[in-house]
Amino acid sequence: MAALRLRLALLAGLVAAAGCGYFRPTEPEIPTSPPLRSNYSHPDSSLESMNIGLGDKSTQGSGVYMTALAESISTSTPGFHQLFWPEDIVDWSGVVPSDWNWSFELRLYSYLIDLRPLDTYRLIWADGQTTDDIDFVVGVAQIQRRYRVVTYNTDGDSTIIAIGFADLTFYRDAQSRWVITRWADRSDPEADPGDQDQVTLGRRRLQSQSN
Amino acid sequence: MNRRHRLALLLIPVVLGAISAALPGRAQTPSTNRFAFADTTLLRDTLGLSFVNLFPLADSLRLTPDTLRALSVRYRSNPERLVQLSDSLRVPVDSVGVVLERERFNPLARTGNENVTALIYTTTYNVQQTQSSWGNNLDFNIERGPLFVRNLTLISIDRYSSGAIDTRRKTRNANTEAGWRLNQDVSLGARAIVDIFDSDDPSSGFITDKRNDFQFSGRSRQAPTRNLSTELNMFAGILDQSGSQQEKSGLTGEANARMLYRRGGWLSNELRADFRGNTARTRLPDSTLQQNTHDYNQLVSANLQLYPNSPVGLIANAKYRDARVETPSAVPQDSGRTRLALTSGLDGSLDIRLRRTADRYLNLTSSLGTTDASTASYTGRTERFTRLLGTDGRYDLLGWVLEGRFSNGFNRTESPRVTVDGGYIEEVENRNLDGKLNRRLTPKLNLQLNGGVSLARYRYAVVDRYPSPPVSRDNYRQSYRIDALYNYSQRFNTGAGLEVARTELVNIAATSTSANNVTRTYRADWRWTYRLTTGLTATQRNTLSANYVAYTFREGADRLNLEYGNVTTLNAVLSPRLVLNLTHSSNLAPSGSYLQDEVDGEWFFSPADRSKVFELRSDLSYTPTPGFSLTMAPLYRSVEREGTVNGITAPQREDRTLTVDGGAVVSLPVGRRGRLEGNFGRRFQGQRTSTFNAGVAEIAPVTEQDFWRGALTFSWQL
Repeated sequence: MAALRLRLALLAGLVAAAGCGYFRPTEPEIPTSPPLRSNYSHPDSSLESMNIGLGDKSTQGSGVYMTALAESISTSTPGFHQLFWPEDIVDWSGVVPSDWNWSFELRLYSYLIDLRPLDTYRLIWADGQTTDDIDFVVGVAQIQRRYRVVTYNTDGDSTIIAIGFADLTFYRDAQSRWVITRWADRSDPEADPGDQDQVTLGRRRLQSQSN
Repeated sequence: MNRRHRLALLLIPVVLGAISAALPGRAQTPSTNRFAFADTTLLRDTLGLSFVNLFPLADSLRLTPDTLRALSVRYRSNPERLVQLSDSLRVPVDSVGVVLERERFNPLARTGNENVTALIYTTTYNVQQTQSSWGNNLDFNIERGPLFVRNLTLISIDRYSSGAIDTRRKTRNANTEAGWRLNQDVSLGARAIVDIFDSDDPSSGFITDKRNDFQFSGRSRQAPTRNLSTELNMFAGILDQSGSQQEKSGLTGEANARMLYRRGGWLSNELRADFRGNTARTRLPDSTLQQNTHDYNQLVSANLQLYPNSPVGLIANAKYRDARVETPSAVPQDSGRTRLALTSGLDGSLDIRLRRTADRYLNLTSSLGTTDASTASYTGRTERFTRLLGTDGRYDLLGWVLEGRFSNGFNRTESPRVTVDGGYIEEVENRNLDGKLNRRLTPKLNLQLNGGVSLARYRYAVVDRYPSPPVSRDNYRQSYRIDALYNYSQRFNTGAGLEVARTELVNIAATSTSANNVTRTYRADWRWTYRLTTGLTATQRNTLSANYVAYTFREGADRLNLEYGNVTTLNAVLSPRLVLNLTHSSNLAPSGSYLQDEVDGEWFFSPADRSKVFELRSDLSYTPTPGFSLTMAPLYRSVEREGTVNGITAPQREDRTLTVDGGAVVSLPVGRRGRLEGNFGRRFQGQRTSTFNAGVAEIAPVTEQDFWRGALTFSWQL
């Protein structure tokens, strides 16, 4: 009986050893900034969330930016597709993907934030040249917006690294989020042709393939 | 972790050892209720093979039962026979087939001096919807006195269809050896190995790769003492290789040796060495520049077993490997130069086994290994170091059987040049502890408790410049499960289980902690089997599960996934020749997120989508004569997906599929020496899909598929 008690005691010791923190995960670093506030309850809210995501330049920011684009892993829900401005295709000497989808867009985010690692980023949306067509009952919206991606260095100097128009089609998903399913890109006549940085996001997308 | 905690960890094997208290053994049969919860479908006989002792055998070999079963089916041997071969050949069970195949070409393996004429021809035709293959194998062996000729020829033609494009691949391989056995321990001869591969895959264009090896062969074996046996085999000859990658011709050689020393039943020491190499003139297919290249591959391994069948035993293994492949550089600026791919590695393991009985034992395991591999390009070199410490044991006490397992593994992988600018170092540590407690509470009631905890730690450090290394993180999991099985009678049994698990994803860096989450899983299942009458059995399994996903740093992103499943099977043996299986299954999986009430601020579950899958299947088999069956298997499947917007549920997609498989299964003798085996049949499938836009159905046309499928093998033996 004494041997039995001894073995049970040793068994209890084993269980205690398992609870000594050996299996405790490491405490993560506290986010340096509060969690990003994202909002996808309206097409313009989703566009502003993309701006917040790009400005954060982090994995978290990438998540916020990409959530505004429809991700689809089945044929029952539409996915994100971007159509290039024909002139961008003609000018590009490399490979042009036949379908620029959600996965490709992930590269764009990484590529953009690597262009000026020390700068602050903003994705500025402005009204386009057409009237918004938003159907809140059906959950489909078609809008046009002018965009600019502007970076600011520590001295406050700004640089436009992308400029253009986007004809956007939104779809309200199962979680009531307005997400972009179609992005038809085109150039902005006001872009400075002498500034190599002032190209469309479509051109930046093509450039991001070599990143 | 502080020093006290580390000390506590060291106590784990000591504690298990003390509990196990390996003492001189006495005969004791293992407790059979340990396998009460095992998957009994694995025990069904097939292909004339019986798996009665599958679980105890797999347990003693430290293999999973399904692995041992798969090996048995592959080599068409009962598990007991496979284990017997494994013991006599002194190789692991999963190597038995490979060693037997190799020994077929060893003339010294022949024991008598009688004349032998053996020929086996096998042809197999396999057809599926988009691919078909036709294989022909010929294996002959002729021995007349000291002379012998052996040949193994394999030819296969595969066709793949993709739209209007057909791709054809042809593989031909012939291995022929002829020689003269000088005496029982020495033979001389020559062998020819021919490999040809053709492909007209549009993605790579038309490709033909050929390799011809013609070699003299010398085999010998020695037994200097009663306890010592050795083997030495040597091959040397010419090599001729052409194809899409390179053109190569030169000299080739191979030497392998084996030494086995045994002393009584307490010591066994085996050394193996294998060296293969070639020196050749090599050029790229589109180049006229010939270059000297040298390739080799050497492998040395050792195995030491001390007191393998005693209460305390030791098994040690070591392996050293080194390989070099030299190829002309395909980079224009490196023209005239060659590139090397080098691989080397050293692995060792030490197992101490303390065994009192089959149900009271403790194993202590440790291993170390290092690998250095570089590719022929500047990038891609990888150095890997691995370390594993572990222990596992079993102890039965007062009717309870406790099994425990602990392991700590560490891997360090250095990839300094993933790109030309840099790379990263990965360190992974896996800590695992799990246990199982088993008891037969009453003659009819079995109980099993499972618990486990694990932590995987991934850490990364950048070398030079690398923009996107993986995220340093911890993955934690703990789970508990209780199972009960009640065997009321031979006609009725039922069981239930409940599992609770918690998993945590912890990204360490502040920039990636938004994905951190904790998932709590609750899973329950209940199953029963009832033999209603002779030849009519009903079985049902019901499952419920819930996954609560909570994001640590993202308010409002939590999710809940629910699942309800049910499978009911009716098995009816209507007559000795007619068998019917009827199966109905359903699966409902709602999921959604949490929304905050604007008035009281409370969070509540808001369903976002729901999928419903229903399936009805019947399998009818009629066997008019042994070895020939007609089968019919209709299957109806319905899939519905619904989404919820602003609290209103609306359909999103519906699929209806009807599949009918009809065919025959044969296993018939053809004449006295031939045999035809396999199945063939035709499949019809029709599917209609409806998608919904704002609640209005858009019905797509019905899609139909109709094709032959099956695999038939004819074999003939002289």
